Amino acid sequence: MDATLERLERRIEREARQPRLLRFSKRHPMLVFGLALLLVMIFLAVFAPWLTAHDPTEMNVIDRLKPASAQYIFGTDALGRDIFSRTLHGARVSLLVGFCVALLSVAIGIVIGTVAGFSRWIDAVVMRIMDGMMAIPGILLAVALMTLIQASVQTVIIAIALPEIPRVVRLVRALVLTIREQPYIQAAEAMGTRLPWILARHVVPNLLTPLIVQASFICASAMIFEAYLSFLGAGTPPEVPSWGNIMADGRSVVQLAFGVILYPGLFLGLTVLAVNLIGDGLRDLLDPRIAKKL
Amino acid sequence: MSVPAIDVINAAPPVPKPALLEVRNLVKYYPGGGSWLRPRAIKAVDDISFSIGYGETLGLVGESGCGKSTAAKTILRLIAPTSGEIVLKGIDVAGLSSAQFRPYRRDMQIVFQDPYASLNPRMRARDIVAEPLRNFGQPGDWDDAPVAALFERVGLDKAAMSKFPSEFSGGQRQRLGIARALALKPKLIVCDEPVSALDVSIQAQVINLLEDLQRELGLSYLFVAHDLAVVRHISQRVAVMYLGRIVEIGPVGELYANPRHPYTKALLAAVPKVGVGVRREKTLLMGDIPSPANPPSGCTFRTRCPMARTACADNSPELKLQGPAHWAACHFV
Amino acid sequence: MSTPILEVDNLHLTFASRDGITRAVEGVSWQVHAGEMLGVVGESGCGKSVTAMAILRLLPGAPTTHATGAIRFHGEDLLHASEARMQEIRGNEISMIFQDPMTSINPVLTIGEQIAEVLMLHQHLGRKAAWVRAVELLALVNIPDPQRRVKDYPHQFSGGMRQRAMIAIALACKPAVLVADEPTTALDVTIQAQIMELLDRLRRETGTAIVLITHDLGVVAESCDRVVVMYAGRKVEEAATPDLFAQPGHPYTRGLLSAMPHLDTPLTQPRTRLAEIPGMVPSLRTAAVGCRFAPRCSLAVDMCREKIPSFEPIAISNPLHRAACWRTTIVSEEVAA
Repeated sequence: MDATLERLERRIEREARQPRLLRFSKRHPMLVFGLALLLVMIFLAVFAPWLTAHDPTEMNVIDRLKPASAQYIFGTDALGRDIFSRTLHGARVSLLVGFCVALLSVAIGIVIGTVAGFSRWIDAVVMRIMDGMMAIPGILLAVALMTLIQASVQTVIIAIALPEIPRVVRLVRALVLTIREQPYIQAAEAMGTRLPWILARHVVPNLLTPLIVQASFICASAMIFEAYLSFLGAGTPPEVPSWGNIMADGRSVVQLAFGVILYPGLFLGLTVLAVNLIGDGLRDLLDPRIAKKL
Repeated sequence: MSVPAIDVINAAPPVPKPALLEVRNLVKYYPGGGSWLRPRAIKAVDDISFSIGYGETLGLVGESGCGKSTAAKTILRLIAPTSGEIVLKGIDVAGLSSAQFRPYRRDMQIVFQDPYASLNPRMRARDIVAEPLRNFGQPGDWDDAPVAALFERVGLDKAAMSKFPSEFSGGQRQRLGIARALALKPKLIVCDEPVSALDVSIQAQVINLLEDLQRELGLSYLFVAHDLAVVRHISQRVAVMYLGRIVEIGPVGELYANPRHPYTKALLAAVPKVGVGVRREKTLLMGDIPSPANPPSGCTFRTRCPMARTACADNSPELKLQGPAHWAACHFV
Repeated sequence: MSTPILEVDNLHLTFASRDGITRAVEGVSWQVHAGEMLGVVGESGCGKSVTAMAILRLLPGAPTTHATGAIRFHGEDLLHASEARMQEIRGNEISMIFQDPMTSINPVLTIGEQIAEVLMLHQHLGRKAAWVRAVELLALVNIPDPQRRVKDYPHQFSGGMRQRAMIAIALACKPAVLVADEPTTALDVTIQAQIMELLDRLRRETGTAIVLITHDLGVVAESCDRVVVMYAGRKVEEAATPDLFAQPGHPYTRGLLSAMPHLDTPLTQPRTRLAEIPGMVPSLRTAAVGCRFAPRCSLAVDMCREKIPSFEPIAISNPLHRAACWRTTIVSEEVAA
């Protein structure tokens, strides 16, 4: 056969023989990089107590506003607390908030969106409520909620998840309307399958692929959102270090100890980048047309 | 238009038998036709009647907008009928509630046209075929044996039971759909264009399978299709639909050899034929198929009919007896 | 025989993806002459559509697509022509119409604009002149009330009329060749008959050669002068239409004809089973050593599996009717039964 073709064939064969992980990384570099970065962050968050020498709330006022050193890796803040320790412990909160918001909003969104897709009158009512919620800027909604309830990590999660729900509901509803028309749904009906089972077994599993991508973007957005809220003082309570909190505390002393804003901000930025890369990478991975291209 | 007395419809074979399915004056209207000032209903199915005996195949043919697919799905109550009777084994199921109707679903199943969209891509083949069994069987009954038996019956390898639909070819997927339809041992299977999406060489395999199953299991088919040659091969009786109405119905040999309605004649003439030295002149039907949203008054076929006269616009013709069990709806035959 | 207008010469088309190489077309050659309608018939995956796309160079380029051989239009090799030259040819000297008129016509432009676009681009007509010509073209393809309809959008046309509009766009610049890729597959049978009659009339009036790609043997039987049958990327038979259907030479062609129910076969009770072709079309990922049809062929012998059959006449009396089969052509006496 033709020389170019043979070379092409050999190249494809060579690639097929490489170990799977290597092949995967070459084809989806951003996804793998994002995953790696996120895993590093999760590792740091989980093992924070063992990786840090100081307690995040421990105040050594004599050592306040010190620059980075061997003892205080990122320096200290206005109250003498170790920024490194606070940053790593803050990762716990921020990551927790991100994942929980994504999970919660998608779960609720699936339930509401599926029901709206199947029942016309529920659809009319629900979509008007969703429209109403989307008309209010998310941050105002969250701040309003936080003033009404006692601040804690759980309440912050709920306050951030709520404005994200309408977008998920919109997406789910649109997908459900398409899926409903598919012959396999009619086939299930013809076989006597009851509606709840149709929803659980036929509709929802076919929603998951686009929703996973959406969930990763919600996660990234939620982490930044939490930082906004804490910066405004309406987020996690001051005893609990989160990246937003730390940066909020350091607002006034930014000229003296830039590290108070720099390090948490850097970590936040890297984590959000990682999650966004994962979202983009997943979308490409799950799109069969792009996945097959050379 | 309604067809009187039941016996005459089932006159082939000559000894009349009780019908498995009798459809009487079935109507399905959708809102949205006409214009904003004068809204009319879209008459997707406009008063059709027919019956199907045990072990018999009734072919239902027609072009776009004739309502054959809508009729098929309405009979299964996948679409709610607007009015009419659907008499299954002597009981009218058209007016039953969903819960009351559910047990009757065991007797009527469906095979769809699209082998790709009629199977849930996220379910394994085994689960797809087992689903009807699980709907009506014992809760703890997850035995593979009945599913394996169904696979064998339709010519699929038992090892394929754990695969996903994307791993099958088009013809195999259609076999899977047939296996699923057989699971509840129905008496009637509605085949909605089951081979239209398949290659010719695979069509033959699936058609042969359907015929074998009919012989072995005594199944009846309502075979909806637009391919006239396939319908002729598989059916005992054929009904021709145009814009929601049956314009001709009769035994297959008689209808194809001596079509009475001008539409049937035109349809048969338009089918491209593989014959030696075939390049004959045909009288072509002019114009386009009218939209069901705005059908012509009187006889809906008059806008394209070579025999149309002024009287055709006034009232729509009733089905008239043309020969043994052969009816056509035209003022002039 | 007069010189062909369009000639496909030993075309090989290969597509490369992560999963491997697909040999979509292997060594296919055919020609079409002025005023002739050539049918290229085969089932899905046989390579007929990609051959058509290759003529107008509509396939994605390297490294995904790899083409060797030649496609000669008036002697000029289109596979190696420049993109600028191809743009001159497309819509102008060689036109194409597609299967689905809804997605092949731009839904946000009026029909008139789309016809005028081709005329203004290739024939350098002014806007007014192009619109006048567009109305003429719509009348040519039997669209009633063309003055009014030329300003309509595609969704206001029925399926059959959209297909006619697409034919009007394709023939606007009086091309020498029209490639029709399954033009009637999506249409009802009475509309299909109208469209085929239109194509036949137009080619007789204008002398345009038509390459009709389809899976429907009936359409080919009624309209085409010559037929090429393809299977799994290769040409397996070629003949004048009456010859092909009177005496199909290749076991695949015979198989297709027996597998189809016909309107004139006698109706027995019970029906005679349709003669199935067992098995499935082979995957084009693997290179084949012998005849691609051998695994499904009842006549296959060892030689069939070892060597690709050469293209030979099936009878000495008719050298133009040829097939690629060791068992049914004039070379069969060399092959021990």
